[in-house]
Amino acid sequence: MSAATTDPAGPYAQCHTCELVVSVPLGPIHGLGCPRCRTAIHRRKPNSLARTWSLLIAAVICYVPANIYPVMEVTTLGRPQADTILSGVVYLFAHGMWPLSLIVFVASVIVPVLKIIALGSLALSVQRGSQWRPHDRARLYRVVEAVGRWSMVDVYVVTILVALVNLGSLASVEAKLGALFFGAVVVLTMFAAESFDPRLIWDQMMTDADEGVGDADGE
Amino acid sequence: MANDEVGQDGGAAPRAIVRAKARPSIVWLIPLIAALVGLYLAYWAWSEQGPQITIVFESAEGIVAGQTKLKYKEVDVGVVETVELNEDLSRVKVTASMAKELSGFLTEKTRFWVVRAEVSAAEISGVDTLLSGAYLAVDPSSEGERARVFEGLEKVPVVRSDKPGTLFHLRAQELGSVDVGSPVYYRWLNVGQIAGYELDEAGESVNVQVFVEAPHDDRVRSTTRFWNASGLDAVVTAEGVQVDTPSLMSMLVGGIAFETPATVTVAQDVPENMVFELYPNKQATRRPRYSRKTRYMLFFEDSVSGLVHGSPVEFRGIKLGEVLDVDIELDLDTNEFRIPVVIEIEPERLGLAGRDIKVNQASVLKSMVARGFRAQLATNNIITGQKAVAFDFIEGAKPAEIQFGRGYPVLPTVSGGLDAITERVTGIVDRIDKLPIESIGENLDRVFASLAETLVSVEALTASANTDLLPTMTASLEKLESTLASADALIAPDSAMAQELETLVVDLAGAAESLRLLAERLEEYPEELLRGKAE
Repeated sequence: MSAATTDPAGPYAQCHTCELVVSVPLGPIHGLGCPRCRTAIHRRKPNSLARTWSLLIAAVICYVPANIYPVMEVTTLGRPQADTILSGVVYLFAHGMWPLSLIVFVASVIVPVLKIIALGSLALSVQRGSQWRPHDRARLYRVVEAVGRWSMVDVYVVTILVALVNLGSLASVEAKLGALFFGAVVVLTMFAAESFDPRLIWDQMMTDADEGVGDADGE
Repeated sequence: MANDEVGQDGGAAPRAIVRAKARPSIVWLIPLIAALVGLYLAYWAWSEQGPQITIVFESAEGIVAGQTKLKYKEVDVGVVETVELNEDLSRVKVTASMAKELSGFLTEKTRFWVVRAEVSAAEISGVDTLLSGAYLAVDPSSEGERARVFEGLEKVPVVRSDKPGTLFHLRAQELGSVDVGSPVYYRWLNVGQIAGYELDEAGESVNVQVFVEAPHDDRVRSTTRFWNASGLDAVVTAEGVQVDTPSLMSMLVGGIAFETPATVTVAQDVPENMVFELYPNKQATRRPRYSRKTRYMLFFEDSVSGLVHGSPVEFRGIKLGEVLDVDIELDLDTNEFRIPVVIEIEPERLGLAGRDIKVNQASVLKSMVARGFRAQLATNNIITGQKAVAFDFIEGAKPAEIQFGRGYPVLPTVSGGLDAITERVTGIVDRIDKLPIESIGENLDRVFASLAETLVSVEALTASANTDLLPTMTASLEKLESTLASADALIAPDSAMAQELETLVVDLAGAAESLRLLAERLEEYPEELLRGKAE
């Protein structure tokens, strides 16, 4: 066992905020704080799996109304047209703007769905103590965390349009219920990704190393 | 590890451990809230969902699936979901989801129509739809059976449940220049609209439906007269020319006006199914025409010279109707000519108005015919020879009945002319019979005797005249002759007086000529009166 690891029961822990590695007593730790920034010290993100699961389930629930309800309503010359995410994609595609349609489709449909699936499978694999391809799973987590915020593009577009296109009876854009739920999906998945602790993947490998590969390591 | 804990105090009782909290993390509240919100939304969507209906239109002009709204009193009550053609492509099926509140008002009486921008001479409507697009208007009704499939109207209906008022039925000879939507006036106030019109079954008149808005519909009484208010109405009377101009609007788009004049008949509430007459102009309303008309046929055998279309049909001098047609036909059975005359009677003139004449008119007429009700030809105007058909109860007429089967009921006639002559001749003979011829003879004898006496005295008178008067008369005549001779001498052409008169006339002519010259000169140079003749 190398001295610098912050394994689940070892003598070191890392502050979540300022990332200072501190030495802690063995066993469960409670009420300890970071000597530098005074944040509470935990070995792992507390309650990580439960938080990830709950936020993920909330995101899945919100994803249903986000797709059913219209995201925004464009009123041109008094003629209101409400569009859901998918109808917007279809509309753009039907009008020959397929690159734009593709962007919207990727950012608003593929990414959130993939994110939910990826986070779900990560949480599931950790919960079941899987040791399958830890490096790939770690990479997947990094991708999910990096790409998460880009789903907010849709929400930004809606908010910008609402603020910009306000020409009275000529044209106006109004955000509808779907945008709220879509925003909630993005935020909830971001929180879920944030609350997931990737070290749990390696903890699994650690227990494995303790039992099987431990002798080779401990020279 | 477990051994360490248990064995710390050398076999004493094991130390209690801190029991792991089984309480679930507070973070699970987030999906719970999300689920609650989702459930609430689902319930809300379900509870707000009204019935799904189908409306069939001729054309889907302006209707867009997912966008076109259904409105009642300008409130959204639904939205069009799909627009599709029906199986044989003849019509358009529009499905719409309605608001829940309307579910009790979607019955077979509920009507739907498309509101588009419309510009007509009468009004410009639906301007807001130019920008917002057409919408479907709903006229909900809670009467009748529940329905989910409706026939869409192509035109905006005039009678709507949100506009209280009454529909009246008029009958016109001609439609005139009115159209659906044309205004209805009461004292030139726009109080309604024309709801529709159609030919009656026989094609003899036009039925016009008129919608009068509340509270003005109370102004329509049983004696109210409607007239066509379009155009100009000029009447020449003893007081001069009177021009009745309606508003410019009604001159352009036509319209119907009504008024309740003071009449002998007391005005009552309008009975149900009453049909009013629509007069061509206001003037015509003063000559009431009765809307109910029945036609009969009469057969005459004697000359109908003077009987033409429009000749009056009278009963004891009161006009009942008029003659429509006079013809002649040969009865092949009897080889006799007879003259069929079609007349039109307005039974309401008999004071039967207000009752349901159709039911008992035939029986009333039947009993009247049995009592001797006959038609005959009467000379209406001795100078022009115009004739009329006169009805009366003729005592002792040959019994007859109303005959059917010629298209019109045939009323019995009496040979007016011949009968009358016979009657008169009989009367004359009667009177001659009553003359005291014998006493007349005696009187005549006496007259002749006194006449002889008179003649004798006349003779004596003549004799005395011969002796006394003649000489005096002769002397007078001689004197007259001499007077005439001297007068003759005075005025003879070569007498002195005649010559003087002739020269006088010539002088007068000269004087007149110079006067004329003077007058002309003065006219030309009037200043010469003051200044004298300018040389």
